[in-house]
Amino acid sequence: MNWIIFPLLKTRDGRKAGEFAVGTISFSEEKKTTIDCPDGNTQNKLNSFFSVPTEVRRARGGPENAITYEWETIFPGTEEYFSERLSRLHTIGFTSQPQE
Amino acid sequence: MDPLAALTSQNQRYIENTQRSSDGLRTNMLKETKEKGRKKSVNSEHTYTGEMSDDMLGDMDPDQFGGGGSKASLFKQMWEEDVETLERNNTPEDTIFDLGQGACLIKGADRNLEYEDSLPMDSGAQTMSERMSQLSLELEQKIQAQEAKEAQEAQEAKEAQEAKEAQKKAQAQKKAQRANTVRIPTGDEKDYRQDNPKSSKDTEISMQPGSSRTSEDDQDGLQGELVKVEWGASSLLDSAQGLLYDDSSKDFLDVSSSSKTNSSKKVAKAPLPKELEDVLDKLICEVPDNCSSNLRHILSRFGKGVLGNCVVNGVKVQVTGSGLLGTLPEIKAINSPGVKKAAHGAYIPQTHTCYVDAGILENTPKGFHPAIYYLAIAWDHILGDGDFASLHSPAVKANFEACRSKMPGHTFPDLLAQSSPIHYFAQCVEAYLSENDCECPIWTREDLYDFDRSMYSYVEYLFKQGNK
Repeated sequence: MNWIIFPLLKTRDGRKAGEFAVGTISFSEEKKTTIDCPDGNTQNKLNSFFSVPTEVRRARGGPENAITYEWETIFPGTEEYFSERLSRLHTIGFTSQPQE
Repeated sequence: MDPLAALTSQNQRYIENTQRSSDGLRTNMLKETKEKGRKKSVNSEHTYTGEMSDDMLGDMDPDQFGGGGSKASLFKQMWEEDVETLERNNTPEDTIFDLGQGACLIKGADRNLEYEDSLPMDSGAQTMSERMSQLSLELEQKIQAQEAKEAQEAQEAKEAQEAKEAQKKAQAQKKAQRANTVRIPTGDEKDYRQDNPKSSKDTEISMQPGSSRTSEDDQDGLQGELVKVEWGASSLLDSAQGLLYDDSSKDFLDVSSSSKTNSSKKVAKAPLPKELEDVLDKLICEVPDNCSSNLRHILSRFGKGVLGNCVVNGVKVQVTGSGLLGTLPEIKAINSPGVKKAAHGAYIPQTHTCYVDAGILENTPKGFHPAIYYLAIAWDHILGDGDFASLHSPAVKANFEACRSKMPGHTFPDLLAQSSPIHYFAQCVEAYLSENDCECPIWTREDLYDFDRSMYSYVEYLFKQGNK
């Protein structure tokens, strides 16, 4: 699935997606993560953002015994990693919307 | 009669008639006489009581409009008598046209009077010229007196202003000398003070006594430390000599360095209300003294109503030793082998107990605050009346599904929230109550508001209902 990346703009009613897209991003098993941005700076920023390992919480247990979590490091190249990083794009000032 | 005198008198009459036949003069005189005649006729016994009003009548010349009947003729006669009386009784002050006779000429709009030498001047004209010269002299004297008075007043005003300015300067100097010591209030600089060894010493700031912040103003109970920086006699706020800049101000204004490491918060916080303290006493058990205050303040964000509901339903919050959470039998049973980073919190549904690691209360936790997160799960559990309410709540389920299908305006905070509505709800509550008390937060209140607005509204609604 392709995702369109928009810049986040600060408005009176919080942050919102800008009018003009800065590029697209997609994930496939063969090509892994593909980022296409005309602007070189944005391209570099997104490349580095989607290439560093990240720590995520994993749910452990359940309502029947105990509810807790564990920290786990995930690495680029998996769809899970791609999805996790995509949901955290706002930390670098971007947001994504699925391409119809 | 001397024929020469008769001739002179004839000439004079001729000149007079010629002058009076001038249109302008004639019109002016007619207007004046009509005005006076009208006023007089209103007051007299022979007031015309026709159908027309007095004003309308005043504008009508009986010569031109004629009129008929005995009343009109009476009015005409009265009017002519008035004119004659006025002409007879005219004095030099009344009008200038009657005195100078032929010798009086009007030039221009300003009506300056000039007397021609060639024309004979009678005694009335001479009297008038004397009178005019006398008047002009009086006028000049009056003007001079007025000018002198104005000059004197201006000088007095100037002297008063100078005295006022001198007084102001003296007051400003006194103020600068009487510099006060004030408290810099809480907020971000708290973190800075804790981390920066320089600021751990008491620093003081000197401000003018008229400034808005004084030591009495710091009524919020949150402790600020004394900061003193000597800025010299003049204040930074005084822009009279241009804005002053002092590098020492950055010591307490620069908070960027503190945002990363805000560990070891030892700042005493405002005391909680007694009712809230009572509820927290019942909720929290087995907590070390050094963590108690921090935990109480964090949990107090839930509000008295929500905490009271938790207490009624038997929820307990227990603090374990730092790193000892994994040794609990319930946690040991579910932990996967080879875990490098243990959890800092857990919830046991059977006993309604939240476990919190003491380490996160002594230091700043990473990503989220487990104390809030697991009490949110406990709250979700008691709201569900035996089961977790988030598993059945239409609002939570709808938002969870919207995030899962990646609908615009709905975003999962992280992978843990994606795992089940329980974690999703708990993370949203944690984000809603978070106040910058963890490093690199996964999901802040602003994030919740901007990227999952409907869930933000739902959590807000729940807290309002719970704390009614």
